[in-house]
Amino acid sequence: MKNKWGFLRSVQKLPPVVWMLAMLVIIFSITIPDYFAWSNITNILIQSVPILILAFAQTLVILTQGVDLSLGAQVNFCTVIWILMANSGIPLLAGAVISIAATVMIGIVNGVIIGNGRISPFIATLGTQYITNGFTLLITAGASVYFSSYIFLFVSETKILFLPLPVWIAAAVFGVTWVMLYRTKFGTNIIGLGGNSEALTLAGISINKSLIKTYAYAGLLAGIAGLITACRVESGQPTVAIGWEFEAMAAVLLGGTSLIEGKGSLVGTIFGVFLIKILQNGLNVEGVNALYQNALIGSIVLTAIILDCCARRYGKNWRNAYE
Amino acid sequence: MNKKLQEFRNSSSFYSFIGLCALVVLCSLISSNFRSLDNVITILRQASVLLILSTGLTAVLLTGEIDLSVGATSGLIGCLCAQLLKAEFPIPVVFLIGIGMGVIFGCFNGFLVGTIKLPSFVATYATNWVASGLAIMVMNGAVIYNLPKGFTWLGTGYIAIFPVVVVIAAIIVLIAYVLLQRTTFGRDVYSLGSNADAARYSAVPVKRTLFLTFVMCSVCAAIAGLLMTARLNAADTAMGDAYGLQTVAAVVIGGTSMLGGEGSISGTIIGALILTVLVNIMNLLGISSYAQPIVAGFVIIAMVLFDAYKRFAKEKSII
Amino acid sequence: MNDPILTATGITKQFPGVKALDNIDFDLRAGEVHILVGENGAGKSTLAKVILGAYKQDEGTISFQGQKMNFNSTKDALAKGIVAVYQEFTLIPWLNVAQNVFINREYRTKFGLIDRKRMEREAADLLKTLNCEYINVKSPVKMLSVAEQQMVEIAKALSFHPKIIVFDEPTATLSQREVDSLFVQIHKLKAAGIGIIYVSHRMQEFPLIGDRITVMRDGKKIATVGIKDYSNEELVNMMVGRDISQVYKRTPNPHTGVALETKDLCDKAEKVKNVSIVVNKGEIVGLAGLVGAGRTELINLIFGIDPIKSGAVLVNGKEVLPKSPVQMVRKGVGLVPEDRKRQGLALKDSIAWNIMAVSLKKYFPGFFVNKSRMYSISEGFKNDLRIIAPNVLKACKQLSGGNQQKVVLAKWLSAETDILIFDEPTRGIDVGAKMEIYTLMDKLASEGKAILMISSELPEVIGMSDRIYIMHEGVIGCESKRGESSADKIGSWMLGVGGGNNEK
Repeated sequence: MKNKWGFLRSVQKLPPVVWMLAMLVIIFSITIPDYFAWSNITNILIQSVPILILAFAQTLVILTQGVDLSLGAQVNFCTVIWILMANSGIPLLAGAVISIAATVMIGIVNGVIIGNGRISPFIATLGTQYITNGFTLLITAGASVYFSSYIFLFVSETKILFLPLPVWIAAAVFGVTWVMLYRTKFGTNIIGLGGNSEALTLAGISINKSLIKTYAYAGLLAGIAGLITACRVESGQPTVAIGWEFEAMAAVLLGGTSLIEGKGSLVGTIFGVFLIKILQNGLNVEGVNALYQNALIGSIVLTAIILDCCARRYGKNWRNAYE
Repeated sequence: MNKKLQEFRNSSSFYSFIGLCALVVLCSLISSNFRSLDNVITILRQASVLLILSTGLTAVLLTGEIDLSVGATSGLIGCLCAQLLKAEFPIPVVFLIGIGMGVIFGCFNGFLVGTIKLPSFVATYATNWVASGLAIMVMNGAVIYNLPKGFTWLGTGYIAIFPVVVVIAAIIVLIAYVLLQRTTFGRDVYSLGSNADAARYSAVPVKRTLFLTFVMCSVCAAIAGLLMTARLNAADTAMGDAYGLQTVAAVVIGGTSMLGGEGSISGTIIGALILTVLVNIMNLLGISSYAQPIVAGFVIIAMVLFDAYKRFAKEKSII
Repeated sequence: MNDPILTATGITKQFPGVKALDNIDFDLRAGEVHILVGENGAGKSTLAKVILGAYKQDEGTISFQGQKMNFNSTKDALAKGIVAVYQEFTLIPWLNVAQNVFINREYRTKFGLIDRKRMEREAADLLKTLNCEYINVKSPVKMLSVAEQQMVEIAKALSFHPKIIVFDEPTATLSQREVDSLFVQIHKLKAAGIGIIYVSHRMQEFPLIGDRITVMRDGKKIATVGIKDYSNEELVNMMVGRDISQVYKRTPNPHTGVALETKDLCDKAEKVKNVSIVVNKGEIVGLAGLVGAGRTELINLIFGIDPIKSGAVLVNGKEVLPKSPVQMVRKGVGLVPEDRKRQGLALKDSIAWNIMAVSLKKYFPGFFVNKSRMYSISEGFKNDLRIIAPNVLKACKQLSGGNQQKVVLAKWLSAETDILIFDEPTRGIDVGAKMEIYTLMDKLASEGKAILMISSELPEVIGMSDRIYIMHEGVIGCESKRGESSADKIGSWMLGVGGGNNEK
């Protein structure tokens, strides 16, 4: 008897996104045959990769009490210029480095505008989103650009230990970001920015520099996501990632990162991304009418957010996927 | 009179106004087509929908919250009403239903933010998602066009030299202006945005004010959706989406702060006009529609930077 | 041990419009707790900030360990080992204890990553010297109680190996038990030879902790005395500068009828336990106690800010369930809150809007607002209260503390509530403005209004109140009529000592 209650209480201690995810998986596994087939799992994972990476970036930005609306545009931009460079004869590897450097630059610009210009991250990154998307559409005249190379197939199809390479890249990004957030001064400053920026200034840390570094890192991640996307679709797509920054943001908020406190969790973000992706995948496979999917997913996301908010206010301290 | 001028000069919209004037002067010099009366009417007409949306959003932003659902709400209600018109509901009834839906949406947003106390950014982003999904469901994959003439007159008709949409926009803006600047309700809105704690301690009805501003915003979105449908003589699930972020940009460029407590309808008019004039002149000059967002983005950032710079310079000189 | 490690001579500091420090001499010995006391606005925090290097003095010299010092910033003072533990914590909520202690000074491993283990070990050692091993160095600071957070702040200060620690109102947010444990730590620091400057005005605590005490008033040093050489009464007289009855002039008036009453009031957080008080018309009732005693929580219940768990609130004899300030204002209750910048005013807004914040609906019941009439009404109040500003259009942010408080008062005056609750009405205000506020409160009382005043300043509570309730850990311990009890007695009641039960 005691154990039963203990189990229930520990479930209550988990953030809502976790047990909502568990419930979804249980429901889908019952109603979909072969849900746990490796091909389906791989499918879900591969579809999650770009959003996962962007969500890690967005987690850091939201921790500083900001938001980056330009991530999707940066992904578009990256895919396009990489392919365009390849078409002009620049070797893929060099092109990749340059493309990533470009998105990092966009991130730095974001950071400078927000930090030194002291304007709202919403508006600043909205502006860079417009500019970047516009630029990308301009240089491609709205069309996709193509290039073929075995490298694309190599990146998207190679399997290590049965998992596609992009999944490993996402895992590596998680690892690096985690170490950076919890084991370096940069990460400590990010948490400080969101929690008590005056304390940082008192301790002698430059807020502007930390902001620039944060958005630059987000740009770096956007570049990586862009390269992976380009490999998957084997082309440069100027509109493929529109709206991705919002999906990433939803995942981050679902995962328990707070907009106002400097409290957050990268692991929570992973759960948030999977909640959305598993939902999308499950509904697709079930053959739910495409017309209903959006509304359904939106409603579930809304419910999850409400539950998360209420749980946070009324629940006792649950285990924060901290550390 | 002097006091009014001083108030204006100190207000947050002052520099936006200067920006608009500069822009208009520049455009008049660059393009002769710009200077025609016809073009002025065109600009006003093109600005109307954005203006209606921004007016509603201004009220929400003034309380320190945000409403990201205006885009999908306007699209949803536009589509819903198109379906109703196709089902031969009488036009006034369709109108009432549309606005009623706006009220319901606003109440729902207000409930999420005021009662459940979700951050408005998160809540309205989610309701936007749901609304856009509902729009898809309502349209059921069909495309609607050829709506009754009585309805499309609203979108394409004229009263004297002014397009009907402009007149409607003007009426809405006027009502909102009076509400926000000249009533106790408006004062509650500003107090809430300036300092929510102090407002609470000063017996400002917080929940009620929040509800009302969200309802105001969603009703404006509903009207905007109706007019969009009327103008296009068609309904499309994504027709409101582009407006979602653009509306926020228009309000902020006009000098309304995202932190709340600062800004005004007059500023929003300026902001919406700036964006519309920008698009207009770029069209007149034949600038590619791909390049237009680039210019828009630069202008948005420049305006907000300039405004922030002036604001901080002003603060420093006083301390 | 008896030579001063810090000597300040002839310190003068001028701010626009006010001379904060006027030729101050001060010295600190190693291993002593030197208390700086004075009313709000006396200059004690300013002096502390000069010593810490946060301000630079206009005239005068500071010598540390015999050498003349020239501090240009707090970093210079820090380098010499002069550290502060402020009232407002400088902790980052979701970083853990160790990370907060070593913020911007993190230890690195060979790979350049943060050496968590070393930081945690050293933070734990620091906490051990403070007898706080029970605080988990890995837990986020936000999860700690206020007192534990303060221990972390002290640990942080200690990690700089200080020679001098300046405490600024350290007991402001602590409960009695936590104050006791803080004092144990301070004794340990003394024994280690650290010099401590203790800025406070909680006189009841001084005998427990201090060695010497310097009284300041109006930016001047009045006296430096040993802790055993004076009585509370003498101290109050030194702080105030004249006979108490002169400063806190009260006109006697009839106390007719009960205006506000609470019966066995309890809150959900157990900070208010069965509190029953009465405030009559024409009376000023003081609510004394240490911070954390539950006084602000009590008035939050009355005003409808927090929900009531049990008990009743009666306004003019009729029972009311306070649900929100909107409702309570309609019943005639007003509240001048503790934190005027965050709860009392909208700093960005003009004086006019702030003054009219509550009463707008009263003056313009028809929903529409006439701006010019509003400006003239608010100008009237501005002039009545002698608020110093060029016009009512100025933003409140630019006003001094005293004038800001006057704007809050004007707001509630214009609301014309019959019952007014003041929470620390003269905190952070210069002496001139304080007198004006006292005169105003007296006038309100003689007009028949009922006033409930929370104050942590003993002279103020004793001087202004017709009756005093002393609250201690959520309970009304004692009640005392004007002139009945001495400052010493009231002070000790606040500490929970010798509770004579005059409970009515």
